[in-house]
Amino acid sequence: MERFRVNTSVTMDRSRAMIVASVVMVLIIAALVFCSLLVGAAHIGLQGVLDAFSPHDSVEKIIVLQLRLPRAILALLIGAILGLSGAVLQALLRNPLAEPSVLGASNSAALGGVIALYYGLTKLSVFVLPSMAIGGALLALLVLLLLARSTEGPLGLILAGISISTVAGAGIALALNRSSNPFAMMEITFWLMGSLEDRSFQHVWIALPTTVIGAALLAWNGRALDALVLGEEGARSLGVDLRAVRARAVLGIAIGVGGAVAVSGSIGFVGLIAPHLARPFTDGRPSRVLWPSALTGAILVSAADILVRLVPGDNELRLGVVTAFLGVPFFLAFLFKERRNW
Amino acid sequence: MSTLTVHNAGIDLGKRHVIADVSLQARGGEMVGVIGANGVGKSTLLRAMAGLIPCRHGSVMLGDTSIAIMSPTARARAVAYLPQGQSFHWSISVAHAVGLGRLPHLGPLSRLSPQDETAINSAMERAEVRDLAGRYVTELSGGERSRVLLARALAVDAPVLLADEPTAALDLYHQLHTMEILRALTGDGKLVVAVFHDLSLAARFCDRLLLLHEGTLIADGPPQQILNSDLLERAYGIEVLQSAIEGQTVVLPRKRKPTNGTTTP
Repeated sequence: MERFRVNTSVTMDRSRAMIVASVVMVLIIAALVFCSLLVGAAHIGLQGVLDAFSPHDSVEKIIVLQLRLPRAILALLIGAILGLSGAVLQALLRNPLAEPSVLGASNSAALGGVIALYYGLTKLSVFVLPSMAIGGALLALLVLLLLARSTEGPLGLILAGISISTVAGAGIALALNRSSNPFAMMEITFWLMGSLEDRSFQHVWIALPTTVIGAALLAWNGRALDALVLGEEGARSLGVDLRAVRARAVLGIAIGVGGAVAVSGSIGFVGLIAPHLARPFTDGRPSRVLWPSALTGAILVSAADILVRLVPGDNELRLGVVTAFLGVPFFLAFLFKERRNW
Repeated sequence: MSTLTVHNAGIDLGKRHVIADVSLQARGGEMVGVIGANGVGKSTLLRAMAGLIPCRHGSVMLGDTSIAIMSPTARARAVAYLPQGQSFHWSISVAHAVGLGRLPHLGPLSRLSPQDETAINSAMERAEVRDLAGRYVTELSGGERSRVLLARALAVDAPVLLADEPTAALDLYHQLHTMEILRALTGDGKLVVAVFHDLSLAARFCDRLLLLHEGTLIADGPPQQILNSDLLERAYGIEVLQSAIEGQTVVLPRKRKPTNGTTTP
């Protein structure tokens, strides 16, 4: 026992570093949430934000609590589930390129949303678009599990996922292609680029349960993902039920990412980069990368959502645009610096 | 003491019948070598014995229980399996890699118990990877990686260890070392079944050899009995040089037998 501790001092240092990193990330998130309440079209100073949490009513209070707070919460939820999904998928498929869109979850959810927009169903209720998006993701997932049912390795899942993703993408293009109404077309295009503008607590009530359910399903797999470091055969020889692991992962991603896309539209890249940014602060075990990836995802989307409000212009910048434009250079710089780990 | 029984097993990979009607029984305390040419179904047989692939007909029994109806964790606790040429897909520390062997013993959400840590330590000690504990698996040499993987399998502390070519890619020193580790397990009453290509080494350390040819078991018995020229000629398609040096059987390939339509110089 004693010698075990001595000899693993390197890994012990790592776990201390992991705790420090988590604390730092939580502090960054707290700071970002505060900034998010501070920033927006109306100028509300520091005092205004603090006053919003006092009992007496004011316009500032409504703006901060009804408009900016849900937005800040949504950024956290969506970023977290995207980061977590990416980490789970990379471990499950043992592929550092994996992200939620690989399984077709993002595109199918987007297609569900686009159909709602195309037929003008969104006017019926604020819940139509999210339900259609989650429905699209779930439907895609069922097809995916059917297609990949008989295959063993990760490639079957990837190929089936990419096929579904492509078909859903073509469906979106078809909707744009056939749309006679330029306004509907614009609405679709903008929605696809991702945004948290004008979201309310109604949206939080949609994204919160999907995020929680999705995250629970995904996190359940932690240990199995560690075993997958040894490959599928190795994991199975350690008693891992791979079919159940896959089903939980796919279901968790469909519900979690489906809910996220339903509320915000597609936000690309976060699922891919969050695990890579988080991994060096962990001991490398896939189960230990999950939560730091969720925190990193939350930081990325929160920061991007603050940025879109700071850039002046008639139209608020879209989140997908910001995450890609800022994410890619950052990601590349990071990759070249951290040239190890995979 | 555990008994592993393969009863009339037929095993398919895809549509191909790889193993046909193999029966064998092995008991705790035995070291059994599986030998045979490439592609005759040695690995397939081992995977079926580990419960990783189903039998088309027949069964694999562990004691009185069919391995097919055991829960995945119960099976994993009972049978440790070391696949051929395994690699690591992510970079984790050696201590964590060896610790993976304890997964079948962990309850949901529980942490490593002192007992688990003892098993991990003992496995690292036996495979001589303790000094590597803090290193990352991607920084290891091929031989070091093999030993870490062996330690991972030892950490399971299962009554049965199935190892697929555990000495492949190891230098002579570590081949011997691996054989000694496996042999020592049998002293604790464990059953070791392993695939080998080095017949002389297998003959020295195994109590019994199983010779597979075209998916069937053509010989099963003590090494001296199996390593006769006729059987090896049939199984490997070669002529062998055979001798006993200091009482140890040594087998060397002499030349290939001409196959249909081709001649060897």
